[in-house]
Formats: sequence, structure tokens, C-alpha cells
Amino acid sequence: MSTPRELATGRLDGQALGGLARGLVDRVGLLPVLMLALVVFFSLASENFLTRGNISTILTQALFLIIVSVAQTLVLLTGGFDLSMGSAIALVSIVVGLQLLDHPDAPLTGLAIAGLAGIAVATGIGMVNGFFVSLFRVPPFIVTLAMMTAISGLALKVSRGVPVFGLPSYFSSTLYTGRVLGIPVPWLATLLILVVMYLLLHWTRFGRYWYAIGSNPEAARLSGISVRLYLFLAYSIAGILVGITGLLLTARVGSGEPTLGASFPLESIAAAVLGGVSIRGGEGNLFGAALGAIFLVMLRNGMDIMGISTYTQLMITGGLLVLAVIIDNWVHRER
Amino acid sequence: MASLLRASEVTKRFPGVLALDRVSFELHAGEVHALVGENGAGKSTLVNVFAGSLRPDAGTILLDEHAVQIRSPHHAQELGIRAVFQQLSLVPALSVAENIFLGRELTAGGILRKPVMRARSLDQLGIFDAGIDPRARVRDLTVPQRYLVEIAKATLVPPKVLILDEPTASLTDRETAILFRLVRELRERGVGIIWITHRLEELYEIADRVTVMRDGRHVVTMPASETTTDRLITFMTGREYEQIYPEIAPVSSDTPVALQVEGLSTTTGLRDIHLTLRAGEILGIGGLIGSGKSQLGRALVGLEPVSSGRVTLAGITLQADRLSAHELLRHGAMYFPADRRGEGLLTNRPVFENMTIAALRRFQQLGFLLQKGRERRRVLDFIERLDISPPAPDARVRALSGGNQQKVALAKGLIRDTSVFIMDEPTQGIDVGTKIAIYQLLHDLARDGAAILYITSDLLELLHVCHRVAVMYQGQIVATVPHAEASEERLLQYYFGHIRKDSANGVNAA
Repeated sequence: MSTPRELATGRLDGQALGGLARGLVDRVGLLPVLMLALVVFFSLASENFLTRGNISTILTQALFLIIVSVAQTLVLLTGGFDLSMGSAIALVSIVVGLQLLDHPDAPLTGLAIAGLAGIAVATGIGMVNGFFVSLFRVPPFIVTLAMMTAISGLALKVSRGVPVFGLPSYFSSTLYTGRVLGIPVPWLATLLILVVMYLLLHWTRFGRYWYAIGSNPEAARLSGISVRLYLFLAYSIAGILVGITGLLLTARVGSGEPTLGASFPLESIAAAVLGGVSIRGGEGNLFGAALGAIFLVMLRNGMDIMGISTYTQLMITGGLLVLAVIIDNWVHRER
Repeated sequence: MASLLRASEVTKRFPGVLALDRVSFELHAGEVHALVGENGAGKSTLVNVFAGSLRPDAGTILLDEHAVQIRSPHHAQELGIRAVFQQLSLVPALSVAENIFLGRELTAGGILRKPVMRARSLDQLGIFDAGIDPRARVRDLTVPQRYLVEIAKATLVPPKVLILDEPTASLTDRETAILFRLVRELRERGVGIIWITHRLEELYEIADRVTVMRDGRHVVTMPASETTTDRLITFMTGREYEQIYPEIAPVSSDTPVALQVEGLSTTTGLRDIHLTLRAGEILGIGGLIGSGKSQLGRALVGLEPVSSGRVTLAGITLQADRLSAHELLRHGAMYFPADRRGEGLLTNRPVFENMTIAALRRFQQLGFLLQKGRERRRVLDFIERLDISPPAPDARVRALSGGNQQKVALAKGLIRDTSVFIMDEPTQGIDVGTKIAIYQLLHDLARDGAAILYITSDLLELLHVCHRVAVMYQGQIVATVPHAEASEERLLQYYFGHIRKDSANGVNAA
């Protein structure tokens, strides 16, 4: 804030203006501002954007990225991140597909076995990530990059590089178009995950510990927190969420895909950081990340409507990630 | 005498703190000007302004009577102002010679003239007579040796102004003597030297003039020959002795033992430490930097590699391999690290989370859900009781002053019903007012039965805050002195390893 004295002496320079802008971003967050700008821009550019049907499309498409972004947020809060979420989704998709092929006529058994197997695979991947990060203190970047590469290879190997086609129709009709209490299953799953994760992060000691570890691992350790255990749990729980995403996404595309979800790791990090989650850990919340995910999907949708090519879109998304990190630095720098 | 460097009405404001309040300061060529004051008095801020690391908000700086705007540390060096801080600017992986010439390497046709640089480094280091090999890597040197290399680097080209920030803090007697000799030589050659120190006894030996700062203001400048320790302390604190330190009531020897350490050794230099801390007692641990006093606190919570020994807390004995913060907390002891921002606090989290982070299990219902209302009331209680300002549970800890941060750390221990407090430099970087409040608070805690291990570099705290004082030297406790028998001279003798025999050459026997 500038003092009257500074104003009087003409010292309200770029620094002071920067402070004002930062104050605004601090108060409402950057994302609502950007989002409003985007909505206005696309609405002016195309009358097909701000329609009930298109908004519903955006939100439905965003569900999967929202869950992955929440998982990513959990890991980001502890000061790490997870690059292996995409290939984990691909492996889940293959495993689920293969399990379903074994049970073409038994919906209940098929769903139970395929669902459990899929979630177990992703949880296992998360546990291995957590194991190396917490016990051997391998940097998350290395652990999850190696995991991403290895799991992607495994998914291609198991599927021999081709999608698993011919999944029983009950799968998609239950987990994609099915409804419980009138709510589509993917919506219900996302809402449940948001509620459970909100409780976990803000109403239990687990959440406090994760924030503490991300904020200052040494202080967390001196407060008697088992840093290793809680790091391990963060990666493992993120794995569960990734497994659920893999399951739902497979139901949506209707086949087991060995390259499903490849763009998720970077998009989820971008969504979380845009939503105010700090890449340095210990700061941000899952609703910001969810909003970030909706923002990215909305951006893609708007660019599609305007006929911007996929290649250009990739360039814009990349630029946006860098921008998000710059803004993260700017908002969260020590004052 | 003409002034070499002059600060006039310099003001520097940090968020929430007026670090320098219209401070004026003058340095002559060829003088050693000591700068003293409590932590937070503004000494560091002032020299950082001279060194180009901070830009003043108002005021002027004159070098050789010409106004200058010191834009950066690099610019300060070009102007002939060199500063040697506690955090050394050496690159550990490079050799001594490479460090000394870093950024101004001698070359011939683009090729480094290594032999010439080594030879000149040797000349430069020769002044110290400290036997440092220019080819040695800095990471292989001892801390005092590194400090001498840093000084050699700073004086390779003799500066006009040399700023030394607590130069003797990490030096032993021998290196201190070497440094004094060098400083006198530089003074002869007309260099102006600003000497920041906490050791008042140094002033009489090396300084020509002394400036005292307090709370960001200039208090007094006087010839070193006219100072006495009592006068300086009154200037530094603005109070007489008796107003600062609480009265010390003796602890009866039949109160129960709260913490017992037996035969504690680490692979990093602690040797066979034995100590007994009774409930209601504040036991001070003193010694030079590097004496192992800080390591002792760290070893108790497993931050140092403990090789043998055992610790008994509330009747429970923990063997060496079981020492950890978690175990100590389980048995009622909490460690408060000296580096509060780096190790003690979650600086980007709110006050209330910091206070309850070690006690969350007490605020749970149904086995896992947090009782936020009860948590908040408890936090507000402690904010009031410890007079934490601002009284806002949701304020980020990094926005608080050092003193209030320390209070938040203490509250974290109190909310857990801690009975043994292991505190490393608890008043470091804290203003006088808050210091007094913390001394009083610790004495209140002790009266209520808490046991406090008080590790400090501040001799006055050892003398005036602690019931007993243990002095460490080279990883061992060399003496334990009750409050009534402790004096500055006696403690300082132990600091330098003069044990009973008082032999002058016993200091660097090792």
C-alpha cells in the first residue's frame, strides 16, 4: 500500500501499482478475473459459446481433469508433484478393459472386478511413488518421471500397442451415462471426491500435516509429524483418485486405451497453479484447482469453437503454464 | 578529520518495522569504528545499506564527501566498500585461490594464469600465517579458515571501507589475534573499518570509536576509551540491568529431575555429555560458536547423528537410537530451533495452525474430525496470554516480528502441556521489549514447574536468566556454575577452555 507521503512526493511508481494489482489478485484470486475475461471474449467472438448446451459440455468434459487436478493438488501441497498420473490412467484403462472382456455377461462381477483392479493398479503406482519420495528422498520429479516412462511402457506392452475394443455395453451405460438419484455417475463421483477431499484437507489432522510438510518439512518433523508416513499417504491417496479417473474415462471412451490421459500431468499442474496452489507447497486449496481445471477446458472449448487449430492450442496452453508459474512467484513471494 | 563514509538521516522501512529511523553515522579513514546494539537494533540494516544490499527509503550517503547512490553489492565494491558477513560468499567446490580471484581472474589471452593467482593468493594468505593452502578446496577448510579466506578475498585489492559483521563470532583465540593484527595493518594504511560485534570486551582492544544503536535509532557515538560495559548495556537496552532481567529464585535440590542426559556423544563432535535438569530450573548452556552447544539441542531430537548415550524424561529412558522429535514430544519435551523461519515455523501458514500443529489429536472428535471452534478458542486464549501482536489467529506467521514468532513457537509448546523446553537461541533477532517479556514468561513457566534448557550465545542471558550455567568447549561440558557463582570473567575463561589450570597455551592444544 502506498502512503499519502509517497503519493505526495510522487513516489507512486510501478512498484506501488504492482502492489495494488497484487493486492487485488490476493483478495479474489487471479482465476476469477481471468475466467471472466475469457467468458466475455469468447461470448463476443462466437454466439455458440455462452449456450446452455455448451456450458454443460464444458463442465462434463472438465470432470476428469477436475479429479486429476485435485489429486495433483494433494501432492503439490506437500511440496511435490506427480508426472506419472497420465500413464497411470492409461494402464488403468488397459487393465479395466482386459478384466471386462473376461466378464461380458456379468455386469455386477465385471464392474466390481474391473473397478477394483483399476483402482488397485493406480493406488499401487501412487504407493511406489510415495515410497521412493518419502523413504529414499528421491526428488518427486525424478521418481514420477521415471514412473511415467515405465508405466507408459507397461501399458503399451500389456496392450501390444492397440486399444482393447469390444467392452461390454453395461460398462459405459453404468459409469458414463448411468445415473444415481438422477445425477450422472461421473458428476456424482466428482462431487463425492470434492466433498471427501475437502473434509480430509480442512477438517482432519491429515490435511493440516500435508500443508505443514509442504510449508516447512523440518518444522513439521520437529512438531512430531511423521513426514515420511504422510508423504507416502499423499501419493497413495492421489493414486486412488487417479484410478477412479481412469475407470470413468475408460467408460467414456468405451475402450481400453494405452495412451489415454497423456496430457493430464501437465494440465493438472497448470490447473492447480492457476487456481492458486503454490508449486512450492503448503499453499492453495482444491476448489481453486477445480476452477483451474474448468478454466483450461473452457479455454480449449472456446478455441475449438473459434476454429483455432490443435497445434496453436498446445502452444497457448504451454505459454499459460509458464504465465501461471510467474504469477505464482509474484503472488507468493516473501514480503 | 575528514569523513570517509557518512550516512545522514538514513531511513529504511520494512513491512511493519521501521528498521532505520533517521540514522546518522560517520566513519573516518584509518579508524576502527565499532557498531554495537541488541539484535534488531538496525546494525545489520545499516551496513547492508552501505554494502549495497538494501536501498534506503530516505537520507543520503556520502563517500569522500560526495553523495552516492549505492545501487548494488557490485556497485559498492566498485566504490571501494567491501563487506564480510557471517554468511560467507565462498564457493565450496572451488579452491581457495579460485575463490579469492572469483570474478576478477587474471588471464593471458583468455587463458587463466593459475600459477600467478596461486602465488598471489599465498601472499595474501601469508598475512594470516594460518597455513592455508591456496589449492585446497574451500569445503575442506575449517570454519575459521574459511572466514580468513573470505577476508583475504575482500582485501585482495585494499578497499576504502571494510565492513566486518561479527568477525570473531566463529573464530578461536588464535584466528582472532591474527584478525586483529590484519585490521590494525589496514587501519595504518588508511582503510576505514566498521566492526559489528556483540563482544564488548573486543571494543577496548581494537576499536577507536563506538556507536550504539537501539530500535533503529542512533543512540550515541563515543571514543572507545570512554566506554564501560555497564554504560554500553544501558545505552543498548535503554534500561538498567535490574529492569531487564527477572529475579532468580534458587531451585531446591530435591525437586524431581525432569531431564537427565547420560554419556551423550555424536559422530559430529559431542563427547560424553552428562547433565541433569530439574523441574522448575532454567539451565543455561554457553560456549563459543562451534563449541557444540547448538549441537546438544539438536542431538536430543535426533537431528545430529547420536552414537551413544541415553536420555531420561519423566522417568522414561530413551536410548541413543530412539532420540527423535516425535519421541521427545511423546514424553513432554519440545525442541525450539534457533532458526525459527527455517526449521521452527510454518511461515506461510496462519498463526493458529502453527500453534496447534503439534497438538491436533487433542482437538479431534469421532476420532478424526477437527473441533475447529474449540481449537480457535484455545488459540485466542494463548494469543491473549502471550500478548501476541497482531492478535489475529489467521495472520500468516511470516508477517509477524521475530519476537511474536517466538511467542507463537512457545504457544505451540504450551498448548501441548510441554514440561521440558529445549530452546536454542530463543531471543535471537528479537527486540528488547519482547526479550524482557520472554524472560519473564520463561521464569513464570519455571515457577509452575517447567524445566528449561536454555542454549544461548548471549553471556548476559547466561548470567542473568539462568539458575545454573553449563559451559561447553570442544564438544564437552567443561564446567557447571550456579547463578550465584557465575561471573563474566569466569564464564569467558571456560569459553576458551581454561579449565582450572588457567594456562594460556592450553587453548589450542587440540
